[in-house]
Amino acid sequence: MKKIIVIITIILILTSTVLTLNIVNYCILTNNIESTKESIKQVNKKDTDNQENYNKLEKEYEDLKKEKDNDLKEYETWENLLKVIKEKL
Amino acid sequence: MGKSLKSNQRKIIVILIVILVLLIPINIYLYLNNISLKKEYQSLNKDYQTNTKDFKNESNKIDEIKDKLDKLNNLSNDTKKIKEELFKDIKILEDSILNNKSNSKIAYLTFDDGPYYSTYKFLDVLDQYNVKATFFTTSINGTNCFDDNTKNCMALYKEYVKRGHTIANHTYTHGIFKGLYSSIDNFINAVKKQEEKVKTETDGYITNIVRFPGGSVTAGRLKSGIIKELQKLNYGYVDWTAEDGDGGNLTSRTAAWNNFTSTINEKIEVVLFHDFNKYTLEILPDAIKYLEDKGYILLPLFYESNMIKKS
Repeated sequence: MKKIIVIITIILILTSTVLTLNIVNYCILTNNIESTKESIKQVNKKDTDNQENYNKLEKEYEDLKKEKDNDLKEYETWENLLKVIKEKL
Repeated sequence: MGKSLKSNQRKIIVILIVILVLLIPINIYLYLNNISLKKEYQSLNKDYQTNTKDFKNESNKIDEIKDKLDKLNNLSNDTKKIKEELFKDIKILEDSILNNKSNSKIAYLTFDDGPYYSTYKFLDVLDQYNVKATFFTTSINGTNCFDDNTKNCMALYKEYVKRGHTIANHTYTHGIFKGLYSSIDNFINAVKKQEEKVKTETDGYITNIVRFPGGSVTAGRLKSGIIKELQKLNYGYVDWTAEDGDGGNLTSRTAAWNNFTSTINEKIEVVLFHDFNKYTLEILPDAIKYLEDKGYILLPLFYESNMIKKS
């Protein structure tokens, strides 16, 4: 009878240990999920801000490009001339 | 006594078994739940990685566009730097050509006596062929265009700068027969006055290359004295090695073309044109192609060039 009690007690201890591990694992996973959700929210928010910032910068760039179209062509002409001369040297 | 002990042991066994029976399903439930949570976590983590990657890509795109914006904002400085480097390299190339160490050829297209109203047409042709030239300017007709008195030609000075051409000095009066060469002072004053004119009309462009009206030979005995004075003002001067004869009595396109092609012989050419002549305007595209086909690189004049004489 005593042997049975000892065996059952050992099984019970093992089962309790597994339970504890499961609970710990549950807590860790839940915590990780929450923090990942929070991180995703933050990245998404930053991404949205970035997108807005990019759109703003892109518009600014396109406007400036139109405004400086002639200057840009000028620069490219001189750059090409420099390449031609460098090749001849 | 023995029976009571056995009965207690049985009770303990029963209690232990009951606890065990309760614990096992809880464990199974938690285990399965954890598997599901793990999957959810992995999926969220994947989303996070993807979003972070998108965010980084977006940030890189922002950095790229910021660089492009910086480049556009610094365009005038960059153009200035690239021109300085270019002129240094052209000088080195000229040295090699003149020492027969290079087979390259250079042509400097120059246009005298403007700005004319017709200069706009010349500028458009040069733009069309991406050619930079040199304009020797005078103020012979005040602010009005010499070829159209109803038009003001002063806007052309800014146009020369905007389109990247060199503005050079052809004296304010161009008065070959009106005392320009009667004294050194007369000539130098006419240079200074035109320099001031260019400076005013362009918001600060300073000329440092002169072409004597009629060529340096026209200055006669005053030539060396004038050159010494020009040196003091940091000016160089240049004549020409090729022309289409449009400064004289040019009667046809064919004559202009024949004059032009017959004078192209040197490895470095300074070509004299006038930006009022209709025949010159007609032959200009072909003249550019002719020079390019013969291997000439077409460039604007600059002070350090070997073609600009300093003494």
